[in-house]
Amino acid sequence: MKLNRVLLAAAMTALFAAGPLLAKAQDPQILVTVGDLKITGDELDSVLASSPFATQFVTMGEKEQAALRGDMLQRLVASRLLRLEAQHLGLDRSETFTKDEEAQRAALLYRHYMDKLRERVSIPADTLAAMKQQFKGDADGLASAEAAYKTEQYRTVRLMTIQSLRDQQKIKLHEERIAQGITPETLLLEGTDIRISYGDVVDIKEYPNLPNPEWVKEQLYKRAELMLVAKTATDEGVDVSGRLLRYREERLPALLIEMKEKEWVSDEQQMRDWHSKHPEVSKIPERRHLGQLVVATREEAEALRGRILKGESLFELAGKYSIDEEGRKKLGDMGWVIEGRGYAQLEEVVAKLEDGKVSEVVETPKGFHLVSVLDRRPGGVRDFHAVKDRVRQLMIQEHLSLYLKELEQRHKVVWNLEDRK
Amino acid sequence: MSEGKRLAALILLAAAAWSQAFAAPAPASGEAGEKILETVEFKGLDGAVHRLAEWKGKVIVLNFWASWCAPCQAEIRDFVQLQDAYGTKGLQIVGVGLDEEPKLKNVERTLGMNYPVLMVPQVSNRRLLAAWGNENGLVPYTVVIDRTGKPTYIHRGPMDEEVFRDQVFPLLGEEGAGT
Repeated sequence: MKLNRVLLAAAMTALFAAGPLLAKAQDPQILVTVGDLKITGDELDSVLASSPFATQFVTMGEKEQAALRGDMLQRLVASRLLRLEAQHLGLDRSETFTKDEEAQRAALLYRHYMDKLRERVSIPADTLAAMKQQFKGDADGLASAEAAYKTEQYRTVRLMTIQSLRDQQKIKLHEERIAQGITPETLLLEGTDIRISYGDVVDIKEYPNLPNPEWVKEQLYKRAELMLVAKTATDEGVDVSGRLLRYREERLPALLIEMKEKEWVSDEQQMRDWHSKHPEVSKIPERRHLGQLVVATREEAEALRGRILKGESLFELAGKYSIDEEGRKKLGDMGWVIEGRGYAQLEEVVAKLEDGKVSEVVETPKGFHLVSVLDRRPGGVRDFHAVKDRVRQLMIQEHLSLYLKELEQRHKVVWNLEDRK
Repeated sequence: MSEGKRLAALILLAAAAWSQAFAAPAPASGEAGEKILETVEFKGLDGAVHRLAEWKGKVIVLNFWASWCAPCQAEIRDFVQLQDAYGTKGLQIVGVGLDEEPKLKNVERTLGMNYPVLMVPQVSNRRLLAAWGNENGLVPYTVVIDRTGKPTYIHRGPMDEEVFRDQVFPLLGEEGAGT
C-alpha cells in the first residue's frame, strides 16, 4: 500500500491527537511493518525527540506535527528497507563492517567503564558543605565548583586505574620497533591477553611510509588504553549488546548508501552528462521589482488599465481597489520577486513586459491582475564546477527514490494506519 | 548584588514594575509579599485574567519560559510530574510564557501541562524579567514564593531535582521533604 504525504499526515493526526507527546500507550502501537521489522509509535516519538526538530516540534500546531511525524515515519521506513537490503547483500558480514563494529564495541565498553569511574567520584560531605557555604544562593557558581572538583578527582582516579590495569596485564611496550622497516605485523605491545601490532594503530594504505614516530606512539598509547579498559569491562560482564545493536541498525543503511552512491555517481563524466540534461540546475533566476493590482472582474481590471494608461498611478489605484489585502496595504508594491515563483500566466507576461509599462489584464485563480516591472536584476548561468555538489546531490536523490521503490517490492511494507482512524 | 539583597529588592521592584507594565494598582500598604500576590495580574492561556493571589497559601513556583527554549521544555516535562506528585501537598507551579500565544498553547498541549500558564505581552518581556531580578533576560528563570507570598529563592537555568528538593520541599512541609 502506498501513502501520499497528505494522507499520511491525516492518519498521523488521527493517531496522535489524543495524547501528549510523552504519553505512553499500554501496548506498543505498530504503525508500519517492513519485512519482519516493526515500527511503533513509541519509536517514532523517540526518533522525533532526538531529531533536530525536537524543540520546534513541541511548538507546532497539530497539523504541522502530523506532517512532520508522517515525514519522519517515511524516513524510518526507508531506513528499515535499507537495513534489510544491506543484510540481504551480506554487508553485515563484510570486513569493513566487522572492523567498524569491533571498534564501536571497544569504544562503548571504554565509555561505559569510564562513565562508571566518573560516577564513583564523590565530593566528601565536609568539602561539599564548605562549597555550599561559599556559593550560597549562587547555583551556577556551586555547579562549576562541584564540576571542577570532580574533574580533578576523576583525572587522578583514571590515571591510577590505567596504571593498575597495565600492571595486571603485565604490559610490555616495544617502542624501539617503531622504525624504518616496520611492518603491519610488528608487535608493539603485549600483555597477558592483549597484543597490539603496528597495523592495528596505523592504516598502512593511508600511510605507506612510516609517519612521525611520536605520533605513532601516541596512537599506540590511545589504542592500549582503549583495549585495556574494554578487556576489563568485558571481564566484569559489562553488556553493550543493546547499544551495539542500535549502532548496527544505524550503520548498515549508511554503509549501503555509501556503496550505492559510488555506483550511482561514479565519475565526473557521469555528472557532466546529467548536468547537460538538466540545465535548469545552473540557472540563476532573474529578480524583478513588481507592482501589482488585483481585482475581481475583467471589466474592472480593464477600466483601471484605461485609467493607468491615461496617467493615473497603478500604485495609488492598487491602494484603493486591490482585492489582495497585503497588496492593498503596500500600495501594490510586491518587492523583489524571483523568476518562476508566481502563477505561470503572470510569469509569461512579466518575462516579456517592458519596464515601466502596465501589462494587459492577466487572469489567475486569484483574480484579474495588472502588473508593472519597476526594475530587474538579471539572472545568469553558473558553470558546472559551481553546481557540481548540487548535481551530485540531485543525482543521488533521483537514484535513491527509485531504489527505495525497488526495495519496497522486495521487502514487504505494511502500513497499519487506516484501521486506527 | 547579593542574593539576599536581590530578593528584598525584588519584592519592591516587582510590585512597582508590574503595576507599570500591567496597569495594576500598587497597594498603598500591607506586607511586601501580599503586594506581589495582589498586584501581579495577567491573562492565562485559558483566557481568564489571573492574579497570583488566587494561589495564596500554596507554595508557588513561578517559572518563566519561552517556546523556543529547549532547556525550558525539558524542565516543563519535570514540572508536570512534580505538579502531579505534590499538587495535593500545596505545590502550585505557575508558568509565565514569554512568547506568542499560539506557540505557548501548542507547547501546553504537546507536553500535557497540568498547571496554569500566564502570558506576558512580548514587548514587556525584558522589563518584566528585570523586575524579577533577571537583568539579562535569560530563560528558564524560576522564582519560588512561600505560602505567605514572599519570594524565597531565585533560580537561573533549568531547575534540577536536587535544587527542587533543597528549595521547594521544605516550604511544602514535612510531607514533601525527603519524599
